[in-house]
Order: sequence, then structure tokens, then C-alpha cells
Amino acid sequence: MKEDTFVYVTFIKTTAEKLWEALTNSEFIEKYWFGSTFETDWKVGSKIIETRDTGEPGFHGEILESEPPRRLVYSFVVPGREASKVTYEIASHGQMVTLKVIHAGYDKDSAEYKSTSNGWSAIMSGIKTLLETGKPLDKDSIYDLFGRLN
Amino acid sequence: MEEKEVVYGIFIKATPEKIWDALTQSEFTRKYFWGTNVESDWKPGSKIRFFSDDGTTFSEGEVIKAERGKILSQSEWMIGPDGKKGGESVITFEIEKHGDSSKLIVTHVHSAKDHKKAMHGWEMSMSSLKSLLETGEALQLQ
Repeated sequence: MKEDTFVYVTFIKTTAEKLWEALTNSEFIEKYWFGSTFETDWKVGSKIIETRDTGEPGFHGEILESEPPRRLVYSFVVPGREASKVTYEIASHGQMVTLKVIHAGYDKDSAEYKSTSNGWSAIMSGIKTLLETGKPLDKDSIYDLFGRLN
Repeated sequence: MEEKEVVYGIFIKATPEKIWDALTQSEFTRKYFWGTNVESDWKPGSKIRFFSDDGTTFSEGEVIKAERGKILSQSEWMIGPDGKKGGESVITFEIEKHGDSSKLIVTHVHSAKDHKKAMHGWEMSMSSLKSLLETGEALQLQ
């Protein structure tokens, strides 16, 4: 696995339990993960499979750690790329929680790193908007961002 | 002195102009940036004053580049209680419009020893700015 990591932190006005729900409930995920659905039971050792809204396969992996509502780790495999690992950490601070995502296994100078960092800032921003306003960010806006990148 | 760069990108459901106003007007900055008021005419070469509610100036800066709704680049330095000027850093905000939302990217070039503190500060303040523009209320930051 490559050695660089991408780290992103956002502060959200919610509870750790609600944030955990947003990370692990397929209906929520679809609203901020570009319309994709995830298939998994979130138990350690189980598979996790992403299907894009176009029906194409996304990433797949295995649940490595699951400690509700604090920590979730899974491997992240995309065909044609080296395997990487995603870690979510949730911490409470009064009326807020911090959500930290650590995506390990990148080469900082690669094009993949740039698209990954864009992807995570859109996903994390989407989770925050969904939890604070009850509505997701507009899907077309997010697609517009990725359309320009590609 | 060794320099480092903090880059933080965030998606906000707001127009680029609204985000620009939130970066340049005290009625917004004091809510998401720890009570900071700002004063400038936001033209390249102009001075910027950052001050608390009681009028005390705690830092100053200069506008490098300014295009409403697109880019704001500014230098900034602390002013000590004795009036002494601290180290200078450069902060650039870039705004991109995407549908009904915008992407705000902040890049802060500063001395390497402040890296962790600077990153943490932007994570908090930009999260709070997003909440303010989307929900009308900033986060309660300590």
C-alpha cells in the first residue's frame, strides 16, 4: 500500500449517534455519496460493495473495524488501483461532533489523490448539510464539480 | 524560515457572491471567526484591519487580489500589544460555482511550526461558515 494519507475534518452540529446512522444507513449514504448504494451489514469481516447510480460497480472492500458510534474502518478497492483503507473517527464536543476521515494508501503527487481529495470534501460537506438542514446538497451541483474535473 | 501550506476545500449551498460577502463583512466574520471584525475597501493594495468588538486591532493585512465571487488573496500579520508586527502569512480564498452550490478553497501559506494550529483553525471556521450560510446559525466554537 502506498504511504500518503488524505485527512479531512468537519465540525457538524449533531450527535455522534446520528452521524453514525448517516455513515451506515444506505438511504442516507445515497444522498451524499453521489447516488450510490452500499451493500453490507457493517459487521467486521463482512464485505462492502458500492453500486453507482448508473448501475456500474464502484469500490468494494471489507469491514475491518466497527465501533458504533466512534470508529469505522474498511478497505477500499477499485479495479486497476492499489488497495487503500478508509477510517472514520467521530468525537463529541458539546453540541457538536467532529468527523475525521483518513484515507490511507495514496501517492500525494498522483491525479488520483487530487480527485480523492475533491471527492472527500464533497462527501463530507454533503453529510454536514444533510444532518444540519435535513436536505442533501444538490446532486447536479456535485456532478458539475466532477464533470469539470474529468 | 520554513513555510508550509494548508489547503481546505468545502462545498457550500450558497452563491459565490454570498460567500464573498461572508469573507469580507464583519456581520458574518464575527459569527464564524471567533468574534473577528474586518475593515477594508477590498481593493488590491489596500490595508485590512482585523479587530475585536472593543475596537482593539489584533492583526493587519493587505489585499493582494480581489474579484467578488471569484478570488480573495490577502497577506496578514499579527500586531502585538506593544504594536510590534508579527510574522506574515498569505491566505487565498478561491470560489467556484457549481449549480446552486459553490466550492470554497482556502490556501494558507505560513511558517511550518504553526501548521497543525492553522489546519485546525480552518477546519473549525470553515465548518462554521458553512453552517452560518446554510442554516442561518454559526457553530458554537470555543
